Amino acid sequence: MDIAQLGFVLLSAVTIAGALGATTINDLPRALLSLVLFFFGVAALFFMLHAEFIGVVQVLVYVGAVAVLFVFAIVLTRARLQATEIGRLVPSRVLGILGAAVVGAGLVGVVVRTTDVPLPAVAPLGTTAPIGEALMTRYLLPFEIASVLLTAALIGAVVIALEDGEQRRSA
Amino acid sequence: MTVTLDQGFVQAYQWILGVARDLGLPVWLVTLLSLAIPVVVVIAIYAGFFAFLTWLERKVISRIQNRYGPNRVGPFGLFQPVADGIKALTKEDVIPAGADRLLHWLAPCVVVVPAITVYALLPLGRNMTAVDTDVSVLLFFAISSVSTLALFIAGWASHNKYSMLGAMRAIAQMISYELPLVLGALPAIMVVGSMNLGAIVKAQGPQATGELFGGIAHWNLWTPWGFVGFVAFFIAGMAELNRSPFDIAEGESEIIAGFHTEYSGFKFALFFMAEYLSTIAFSALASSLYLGGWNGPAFLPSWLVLFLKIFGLIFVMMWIRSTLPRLRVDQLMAFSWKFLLPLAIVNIFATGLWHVLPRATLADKAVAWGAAALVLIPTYLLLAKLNGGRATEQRRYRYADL
Repeated sequence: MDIAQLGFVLLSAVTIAGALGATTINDLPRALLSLVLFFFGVAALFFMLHAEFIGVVQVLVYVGAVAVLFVFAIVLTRARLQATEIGRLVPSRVLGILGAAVVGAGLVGVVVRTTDVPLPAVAPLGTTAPIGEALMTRYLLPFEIASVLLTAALIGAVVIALEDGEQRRSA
Repeated sequence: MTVTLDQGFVQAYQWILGVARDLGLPVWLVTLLSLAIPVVVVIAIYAGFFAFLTWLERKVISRIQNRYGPNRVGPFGLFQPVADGIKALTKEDVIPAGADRLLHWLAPCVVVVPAITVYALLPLGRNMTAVDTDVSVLLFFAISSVSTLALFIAGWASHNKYSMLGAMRAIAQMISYELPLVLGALPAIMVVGSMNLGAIVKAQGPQATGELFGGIAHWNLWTPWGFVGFVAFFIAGMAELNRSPFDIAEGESEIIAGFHTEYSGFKFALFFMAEYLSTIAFSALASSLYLGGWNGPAFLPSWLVLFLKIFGLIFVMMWIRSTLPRLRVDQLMAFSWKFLLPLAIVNIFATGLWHVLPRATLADKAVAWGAAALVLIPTYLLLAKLNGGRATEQRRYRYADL
């Protein structure tokens, strides 16, 4: 076992531990931190694959944005007062378990069917520039559609937070 | 091979690794050594730098406010940081009764990690980048975004309303200013066409030998987009670092000390250290993006040039801190979303114009400058007019009010 393999095993262990913690810890802030550990583990695995850009985006989006969104949710809903027990089976949890099972089965199916992927003879020189080029040429339409969707979501958020001019005048 | 002052660190590093290999050490140990040396050197040098900065900041602010500042310990109070360090180490470590003990302990550790990690990405001198990745600018922002979470942990774990308020303010502020920060860095990336900091620094270096001050004319700052980008980047960075006048997350006069109200002794010192280390790292990043990084006159070693630029930027921050009052929360948010962000977005458009227009002859240059100015100056005037002098009222929401 060389250093790279050792690193992979350690990182995978940390990642899996983070995922387990996120699903089993009862205290929400601690569960969130465990989830953050998982996100970092995944990002580090991307780095090990020399997919630096994806690894960075993983940290930037999941740790920098998604985790902070959870933070806002916890802070604004006073989750500490309403901590629920993990063990109880309510309908939403049954649906969640079903969804997880379907996704998991799909992933296992893909992993089982994948045979050894032949590696290119020459390692690619960085992945950032090719990704940018592909987004601007071959995948321009999906890219633009995604931006329109995000813009619509942004405008929706602004509308929800809009100042009510009429009400203020009557008040 | 001649040992030069400029490359002294790099050569010493190579020499130590050579000795280690000659001694017949196993490969994994040499690899470990090659990783450990930059880490230890960076932490040692920049932690010392941090100690000196605390003294310098107090001295500079004292001078501006017509006081003496620390002058008891050592000549000019120079040993004050040592005394402060000993004091912090010997103080009682208070943990509030209602605190989440694990998270309360974890927060000061987590807050220091990103502050130190980002140094790996910075070109601290010629051939002196520890981790030279393709995406170092983006990675810098990604790693430093972790500190938001650390502040949240600190505020939450303390179980104190002031800590919680401070943490919420810190999160809101850091999220809001991350946008203008990244958009302020974008023009430099666009023009150079690389997210590698080394490439961005090189592009601002001397294009021919014997240029004035090592190619000071090639700095990104001396372009219309560079100037606007640098100012937006610098202001957003100061907010991201929670530095005065953007220190509402601490706000001693309003919420005691915000997220670190309940921290004492060395844990408090760790928060302090993280703040200063991030300040130094941010100044190094700003210098690399817009002020030519380690490029400087040939008689100065490259790392010293970067040190001087860092000091210059930090001095400006101290200057601003000692002369401006703290912003209010609503002013802070309005400034980010209604002024800095639109300006940064329009600046990206101006950068694109500049990039497309030819700049070979003097006439071409004048046209490019004029085009950029035609975009940027009306935008600035319009934004200043729209933002100026409106009294604030309590907000009401159409859909979100319950």
